Amino acid sequence: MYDNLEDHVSHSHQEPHFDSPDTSSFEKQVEGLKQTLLSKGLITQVELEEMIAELDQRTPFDGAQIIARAWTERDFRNRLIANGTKAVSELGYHPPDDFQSLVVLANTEFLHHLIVCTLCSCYPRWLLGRPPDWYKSIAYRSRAVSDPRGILNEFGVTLDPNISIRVVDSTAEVRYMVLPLRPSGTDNLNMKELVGLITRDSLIGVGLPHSPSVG
Amino acid sequence: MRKTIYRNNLTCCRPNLDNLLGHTETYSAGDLVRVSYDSRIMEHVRTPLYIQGKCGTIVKSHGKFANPEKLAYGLQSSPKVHLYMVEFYLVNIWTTAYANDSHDSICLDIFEHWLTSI
Repeated sequence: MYDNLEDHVSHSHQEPHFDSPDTSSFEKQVEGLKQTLLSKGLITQVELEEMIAELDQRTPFDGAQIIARAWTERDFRNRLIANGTKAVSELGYHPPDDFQSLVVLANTEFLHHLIVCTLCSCYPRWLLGRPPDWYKSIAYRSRAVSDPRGILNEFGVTLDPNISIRVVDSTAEVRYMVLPLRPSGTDNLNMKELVGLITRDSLIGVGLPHSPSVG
Repeated sequence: MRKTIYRNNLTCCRPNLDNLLGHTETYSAGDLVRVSYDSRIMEHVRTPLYIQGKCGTIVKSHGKFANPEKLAYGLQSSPKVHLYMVEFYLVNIWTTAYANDSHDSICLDIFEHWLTSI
């Protein structure tokens, strides 16, 4: 099932290099918090490991399955756009917290969506796994909202000037995923082949799905 | 558009009981709103500074959610608040950096108490 996972998580050659946050200071803070929670008995080492394992279970492959289904089933696509949380629950995907909801943004011939979280790193982890490091970088977070076309260019995506960009700055309550346009020439592909075209970056909006010849 | 503004002004002047109690949504898709400017930047607010004071259009309502400004201080039982997806033209935010003919936009989720009708 995960045989083509590498294609999804591998980084594009054109991926720009954004600065990373000051990891050394964050690591110290996280370690300090972890030790405090453990020493006070508020959390156990086993619980912590279980939570990490649960996080690691999810990968962009999950999101890609949902998108491939939307490409092939019009009714599902409509339900996904109308109520993302409810539609993905049909496939067994549920948010980690009851309150969190999902909105799926459909790209069109005239509109391209790009997702960012300027406040921190809000991301649909329960559908895509952990966000890439650049998603959490100050550079991406500040520039995605002020110069989205410049960001896209650096990711190797040049949009026609007639296509408007709609950036979505997401926060805790609602998580967003892009429904990219289905590439042309894919009418005869099966679900597995379609899933193979859908990259993590295309679900964030910094990339486009592969074309069949490339994918 | 003129009609929308007029209707919102009425709502603003004469809020009904349901609105006052927070039972119904004050805004619906297409309504024009302004985001408040608030200097409490040291507190836990979800409305980024760059969007404060800006005018946008309601895209949709997400329903009601616990207010993070209360949750952050342990006030678990504070009333839930309506959350809206609001869209702004980038040209209205980065006035000097963006070409006037651009239709590029940005959407943010903003809690109702940050919004006023325009």
